[in-house]
Amino acid sequence: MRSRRPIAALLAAVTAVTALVGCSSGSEESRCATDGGIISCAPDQRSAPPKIAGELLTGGGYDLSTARGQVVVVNFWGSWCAPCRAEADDLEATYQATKGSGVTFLGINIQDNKDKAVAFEEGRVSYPSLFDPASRLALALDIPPNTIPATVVLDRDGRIATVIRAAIKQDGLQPIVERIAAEQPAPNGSR
Amino acid sequence: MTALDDRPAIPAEAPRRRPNRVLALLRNSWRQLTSMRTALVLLFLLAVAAIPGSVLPQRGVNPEKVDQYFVDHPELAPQLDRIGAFEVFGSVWFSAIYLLLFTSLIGCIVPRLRDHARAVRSRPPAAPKRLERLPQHAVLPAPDAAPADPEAIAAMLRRRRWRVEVRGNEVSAEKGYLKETGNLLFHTSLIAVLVGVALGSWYGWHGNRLLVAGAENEFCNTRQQYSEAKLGARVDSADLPRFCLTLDGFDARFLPSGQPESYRASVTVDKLDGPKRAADFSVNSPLRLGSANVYLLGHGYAPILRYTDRYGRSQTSTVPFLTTGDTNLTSEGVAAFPDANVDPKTGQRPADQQVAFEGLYLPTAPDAAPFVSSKYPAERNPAVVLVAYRGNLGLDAGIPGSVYQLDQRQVTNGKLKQVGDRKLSPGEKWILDDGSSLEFLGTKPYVTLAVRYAPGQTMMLGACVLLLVGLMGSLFGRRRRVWFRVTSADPDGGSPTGGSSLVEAGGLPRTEHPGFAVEFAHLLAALGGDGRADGRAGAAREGVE
Repeated sequence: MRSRRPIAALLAAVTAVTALVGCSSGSEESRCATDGGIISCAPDQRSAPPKIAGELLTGGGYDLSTARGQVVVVNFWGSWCAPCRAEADDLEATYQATKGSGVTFLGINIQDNKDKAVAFEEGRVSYPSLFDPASRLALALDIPPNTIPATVVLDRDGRIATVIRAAIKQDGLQPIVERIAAEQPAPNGSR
Repeated sequence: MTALDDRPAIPAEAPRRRPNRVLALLRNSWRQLTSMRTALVLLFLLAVAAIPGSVLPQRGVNPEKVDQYFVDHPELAPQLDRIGAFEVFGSVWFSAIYLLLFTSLIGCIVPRLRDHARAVRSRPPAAPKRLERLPQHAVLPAPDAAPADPEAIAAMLRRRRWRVEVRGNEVSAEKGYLKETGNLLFHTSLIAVLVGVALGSWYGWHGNRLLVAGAENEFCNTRQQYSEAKLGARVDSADLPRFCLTLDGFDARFLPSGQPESYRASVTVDKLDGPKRAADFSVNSPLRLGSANVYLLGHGYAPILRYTDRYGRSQTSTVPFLTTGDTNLTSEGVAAFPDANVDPKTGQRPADQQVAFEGLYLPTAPDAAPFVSSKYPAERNPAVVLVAYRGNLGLDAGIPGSVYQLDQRQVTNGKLKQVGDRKLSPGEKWILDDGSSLEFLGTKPYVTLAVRYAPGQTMMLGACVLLLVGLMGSLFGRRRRVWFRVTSADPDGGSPTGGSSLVEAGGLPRTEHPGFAVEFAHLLAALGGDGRADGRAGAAREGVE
């Protein structure tokens, strides 16, 4: 009978460890599905819209809440980052292909020199970019982008629908954007 | 687990007659595991398993060296990687060893704690009948002035911090619980150290960052901003505390020999929920933010370079040059302008017109060539020594690479060509062959930082202190017992009050204790005896004197 006590102690230890392990899994990310570096959140699992506003690379301010009703593809990039440079054409092509269905794009330039960022953008992408070298805007996202490049798709209510923590091509991004755009009808008067 | 679930189904008296095999196996394995021998073997295994962790480069510490190892040993490295030799301390087998050791320790000390608690509470045992058989023994007549009263003997022993029990004419005393207390404290602290390590690896995180001075180079505490970061198993990247840091200034003082004397970084901390605050920190006093500590690892210079392309378009870039390990801070780096020379009329981006400058930064350049190394770590005669490259930098292929060096493949395959080299002092302008120019405007300091949260640290420090205290107790504590019996001197049992009485004493060391004979003698001396043990038993038997 004496040997039961250590077994009970072991059982208690295992329970305690399981409880510890189990208790911190309340993050926003864990409520969403992750597949191949792409995090997709179902419409009923999305958290409140992040506040994204700042200064544009080309000057002037921009507040993402003015695009409410649009699906917004937010791309974090830097002109020094080789994968970001390679995916820029795909992002622009996706933008051109989807902007008719109530989709807009926004770049967020991080850890960069402004001159170099502007020189990269010119003639390459037609959507605007915010200048945010410190990644202050990334702090507003419940599911942080973590990588560079990273692409976040916000639904028509401004909530995070998808986070892509890698470079992506048009054939990967466009179906995601179209699926999220189809969740709700585009608002009247959209481009 | 199944065996435990089955347990209620077994009739109460059954295990004794028909022992359940699974339970018996479990019980035996448990006994094996919690034996001292197993614990020692596991401890030894842990030490052996840690060897590859210190001999081979580790990903968590130095990922670049691991990559280099793959290059140097293309055959061996993948094999080693498969068994986790580059992540020893996170590998399954290493974890298995320390978890078993952990379990073994707990299984060992829990019953001992219980036994010790019982021993501490219990009273010293009654005197054996024949005290003369004990290793220490003495009979002394109680002189008139000396106490022949058991209570007086007890009081004497209590003064000497013995645990005393008086039973009639007998006094039992015990001392030296410290040995087992220390031993248990040692083992419990060892577990606390392990718990501290586990807490650190579950809930701790760290990131490394190079931070150039200036508001436009600010960084915020998010995974995206770290060149290298590692989060504990239970840390979600969204849980990182929210703060931003700006390097406002950096002050380095050097001895005339070039040895660093002091470093001090001045930063602005923005916790986003209140006013910003200024703070200073240095190498041995990190910036403590509560939710994380920021450690200053190193520093260097970031030259500010302005390139004006052939169409007159300027781009200014502040590029940190990495120190090469020399005390005079010779640094190397590359300033790349992949989006230069875009024709403003057509918007054409010729792929062979990208520009980069690679070379050295010397905070104190020598007065004459060769300009290959700095003479002093402070900026007494700053200069950049650069080679200009024009062509395709290879960045647009999308392959991630270091921003601190050029893609040498592009140079080898001829797509990137050298178009000149030059030394520039601040303010100097270099006009290249195509009419474009490069100006060296000055430098900004940068610091390299490690941002770290290590939750188990305080616990580990406390546990290590207790561990040493416990070890002392366990090494120097000695458990021993003494007994005193007060008897009438008259063997015929005459009047005890009339004649003098005898005090018979015996002593028993529970563990090896060379000094016990001396201590016993001191006790007897305190009773008024001559302090010498009698001839039959005593000091001689201990082998002392």
